[in-house]
Amino acid sequence: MARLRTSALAASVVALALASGCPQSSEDAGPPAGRAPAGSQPNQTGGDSTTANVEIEVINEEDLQQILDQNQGKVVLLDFWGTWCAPCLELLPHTIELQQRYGDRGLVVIPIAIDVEDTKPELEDVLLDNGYSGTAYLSEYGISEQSITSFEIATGALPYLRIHSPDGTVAAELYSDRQPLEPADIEAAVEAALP
Amino acid sequence: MLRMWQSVCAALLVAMVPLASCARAEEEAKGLKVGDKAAEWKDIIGIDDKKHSLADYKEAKVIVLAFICNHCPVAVAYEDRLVTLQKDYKEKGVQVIAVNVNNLPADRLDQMKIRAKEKGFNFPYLYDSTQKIAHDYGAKVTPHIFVLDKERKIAYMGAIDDNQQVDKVSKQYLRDALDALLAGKKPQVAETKAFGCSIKYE
Repeated sequence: MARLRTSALAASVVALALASGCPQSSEDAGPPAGRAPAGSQPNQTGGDSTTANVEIEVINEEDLQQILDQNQGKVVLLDFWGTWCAPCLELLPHTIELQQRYGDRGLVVIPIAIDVEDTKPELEDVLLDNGYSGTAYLSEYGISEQSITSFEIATGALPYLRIHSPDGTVAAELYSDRQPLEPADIEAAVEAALP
Repeated sequence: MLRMWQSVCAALLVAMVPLASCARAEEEAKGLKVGDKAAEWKDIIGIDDKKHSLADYKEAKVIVLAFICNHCPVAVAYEDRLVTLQKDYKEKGVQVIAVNVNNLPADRLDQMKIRAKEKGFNFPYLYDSTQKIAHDYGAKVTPHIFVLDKERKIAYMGAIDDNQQVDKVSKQYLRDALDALLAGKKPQVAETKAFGCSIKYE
């Protein structure tokens, strides 16, 4: 009985450690989800694209406000991530997938990388591998205080996601607190924010 | 109270219920603010295999308590900066004390010893697997700094500087705070936003 308890304990600890483990190289970024089917391009208003492609635009907080303004009427999920943040890389495919499942209910998923500019090609690869297509963003401030304050990343830590309601106001902020942030938490918050 | 919760948590863990559901009432504390008396710590094991307490460092004019860890790229990017800072400020009576509270395999004591040797850590590097010191201070990320003045009050807390990339740093928050304290003044900027990887609280 004691042995079972110890190994169950050990297995749980290992599982938890792996789940909440911090950055590894981006090669460890979870199973590639393959190219996204046409239609998962939040920044295009319609039409089909037969080529999956990702383009990273460098932005600051004013640019982000413009993006939010352009998406008024939609529920916008901002996913702040980085190649250095392993929990972010684990969440990424799940977040991107929400676009496919809730896009027709008005959800727009926007990944914003807090990372150094040199990683732009890597960012694009990771997004593509995780089923993203279209424009994604990179903070112009790098991994810095400026990124944290300008984009209002409340905890100073990633992962950090923010949901904006159709009127532009903040519906929810999502981050790991005592326990790691799970895909189910994000989905629940998205559901709650959708009309 | 704590013990009861620990056995409840252990029982739930065996039943494969996520540890997440064990919210402990004690964790309401948000940590320290600037001006608060520093939280005492006692008998935390260091990479020298000795036990370390805050009281051991009463000779230090200023203490820089640095929450770091092995695996986080942001913390790693700051290792050299901490070593240089300790070198620059040692004669002036500043003591850097690094502490890791993550229990991930990559962060544990044996790995901490290896990293400290590789990087030439010139300060104690402590391992608190109970995570109590991190709870007490309210550390959120690695790296996260708490500066203790002569009276052992929190004089500065937050980031070391403003950019992970050394060549892009424009504000030396920690050095400025230390310079002020050593000159008998209060830091002009007493609190900044620490950024990095979240501490892996259990």
